Amino acid sequence: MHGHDHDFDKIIKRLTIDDSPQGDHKDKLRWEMLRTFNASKEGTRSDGSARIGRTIMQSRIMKYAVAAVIAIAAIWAFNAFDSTGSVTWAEVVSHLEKIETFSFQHHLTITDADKEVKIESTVYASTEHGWRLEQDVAGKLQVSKYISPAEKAVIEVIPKMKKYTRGHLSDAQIEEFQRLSDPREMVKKFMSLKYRELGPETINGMAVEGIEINDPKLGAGTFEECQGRLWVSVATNLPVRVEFDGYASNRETRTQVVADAFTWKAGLAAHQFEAKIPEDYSLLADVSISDNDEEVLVKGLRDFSEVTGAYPSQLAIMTASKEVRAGLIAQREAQGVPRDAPPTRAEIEKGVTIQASCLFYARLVKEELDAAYYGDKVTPQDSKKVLMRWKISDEQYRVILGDLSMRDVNHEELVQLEGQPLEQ
Amino acid sequence: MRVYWGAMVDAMVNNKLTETDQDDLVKRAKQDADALGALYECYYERILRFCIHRLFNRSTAEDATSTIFLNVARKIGDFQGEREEDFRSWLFTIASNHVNGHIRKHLRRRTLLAEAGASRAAMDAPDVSDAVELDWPAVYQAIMKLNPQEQTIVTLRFLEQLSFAEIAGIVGKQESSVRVVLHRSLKKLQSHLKVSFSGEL
Repeated sequence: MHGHDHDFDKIIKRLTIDDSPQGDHKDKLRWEMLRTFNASKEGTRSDGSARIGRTIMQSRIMKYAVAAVIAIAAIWAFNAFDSTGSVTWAEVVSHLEKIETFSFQHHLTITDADKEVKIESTVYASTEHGWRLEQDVAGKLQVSKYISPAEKAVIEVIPKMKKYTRGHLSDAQIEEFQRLSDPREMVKKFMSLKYRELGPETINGMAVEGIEINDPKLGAGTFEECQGRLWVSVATNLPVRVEFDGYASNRETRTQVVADAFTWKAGLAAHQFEAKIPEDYSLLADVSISDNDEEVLVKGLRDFSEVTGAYPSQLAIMTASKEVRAGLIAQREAQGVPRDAPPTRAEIEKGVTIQASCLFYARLVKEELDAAYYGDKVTPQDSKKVLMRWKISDEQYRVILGDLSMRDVNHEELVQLEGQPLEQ
Repeated sequence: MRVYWGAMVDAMVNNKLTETDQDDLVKRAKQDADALGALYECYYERILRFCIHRLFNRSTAEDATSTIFLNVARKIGDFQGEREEDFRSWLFTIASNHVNGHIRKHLRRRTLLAEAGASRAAMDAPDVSDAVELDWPAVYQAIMKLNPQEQTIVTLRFLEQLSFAEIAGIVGKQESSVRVVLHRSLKKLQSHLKVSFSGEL
C-alpha cells in the first residue's frame, strides 16, 4: 500500500459508523429473495422449453435428467387416459420428503358462534434446527415461538409484555408439536385419503392442479366435518397452497386454515432458529413437562377440571386452550384480578400441561391406536365412566375414568365400561 | 451498536467455509435455494455495509440491499462464473451499478451533501499522523464530491478492502487504470479534506 493509501486507510479506520445489520431486514430479505429465486426457476421451466432443449444434453447428468423428464411425460400421458393422477400426486410426497428447510404463511381463522379470531403466522422450518413462528393478530406481532429439538424446548417471546417463557418437552412431545405444525404432514394425510381431482387452476400466475378431500379423518378425530384442498405446482410438483376447513360442536365452531406463500428449500441457517430475546425481556415462566406422557395427560385433565369444573370438550389444542382460558378468566373475575393481568407461572404451567395432553392424544390418533375421548359427555363426577381409552396391545386397552384413575382392560371389559349409561 | 472501522475487515465475511466449499456453493446456487441461501449469509452484511457507506442512510441502504439480492435471485441462473471470487465480483458489480444508478436517479447530490454535512466536525488538522479528528460525515462529504466511478473505487478499496484485481473486475477496467483512478481520487480527497497525506502526495 502506498503512503497516501495508507494514510487514508488510517483515517477510515479511526471513523465509527453504525453499519451493523438491524432488525429483521436480513431474515425478511432472505425469505423474499429465495421466493423470487424459486418463482424465477419455475418461470424458466414453464416458458423456457427452447432454452432447456439447447442446454440439456451438455452433460451426462443432464441426459439422465432428460430420461427422467420423458418418463414423467409418459406417465402423464398414461394418466390422461385413466384420469387417476395417482403417480404425479405420489411425486408430491416424495419431493417433500427430500426438503430440509422451508417457510410459509399460515392463516388461521376460528369462528365460534358470532366471534371470529384471525391469527396470521410466518413459519420457518428446518428438519435439523427446528421451527420458528412469528404470530400476528390484527397486524401486530403477538408472539415469536421457537421449537428447538436440540434444547428440547419451546420458547415463546412476547413483545407486548417484554417477557418470554420456556417450556421443556420430551422428544415425543417436540416431535408431535412439529408434526401438528407441519404442512407436509397435512399433505401426506391428504394423499392417504380418498380425494377427487379439481383440475387445473392458476394461483398467483402459477399453473397448479388441485385435489379435494371430504373426510373427518383429515382432522385427526377432532372435527366432525372436514374438507381439505391441496394445490400443487405443475412445474415443480410441490404444494403452492393447502386449505383446511373443519367444523365441530354441531357446526358451532369452525376452523379454517390456509397455508400458502411456500418457499420450499428455503436455505435457512441455524441462527435463524435461535431464540432472539432482547436484554430487557424477563423470564415469565420456565416450565418442565414430565417425560411420562400418561402422567402428563392425567395432570392436564386434572388441571383443566380444577379451573373449569369439567373436562375439555375435545382434546384439540385450540379447543382446550380456548376453554381453559375462559375458565381462568372466570377465576380471575371471582378473585378480583384484572382479566388482562400478565399470566402467573401456575396459569402458564396449566396451559402448557393441557396442550401437552392434547399432543399425546393427537399422537394416539395418528398411530391408529383406536383412541377415543368423551370429555364432551363425561364429567369429574362420573367416576366410573370412561373418559378416554386407547389400545396398548392387540388384547388390551388403557382406560382413564371420570375420576382420572387408570386401568387396563380387555375388549369385553371395555365394551361393558363404555356401555354404562352416562347419567347414573 | 457502533462498529469500529478497524474491526470491519474481521467481520467482512463472517463464515468458516473454505474456498472449495465456497466455489461449490456458487456452482450449486444457480439451481439450489439452499446454496443460494448460504451465499446470502456470507454476503448480506458486506453488501449492506457497502450500501450504507455509499448512501449514508440506513433505510435507503436496506432498500438498495433488497433490490440487489432480488436481482441476484432473478439472474443467478444466467451467471456464468464458477468460483467464489467470480460471484463476489458479479455481486459487487450489481451492487455498484445499482447504487450509482440510485444516486444519479433518485437522490439529488445536494441533498446527500447536506445530510452528510449536517453533523460535519472540524477537519482542519494539518496532518493525519497527528491524530486528525475527522468524522464520517466529513469523509463521506469528501467522497461524494468524486464522480460515481471514483466513489465506487474508493469505497471498494478502503471500506470493502478489495484487491485492485477484484475492483478492476467490478468496474470493468484494467488493474493499472484502477490504480491511476484511485491515485487521482486520493489527491482530490486530500484537497477536499484539507489534510496532507504523507508519502507520495
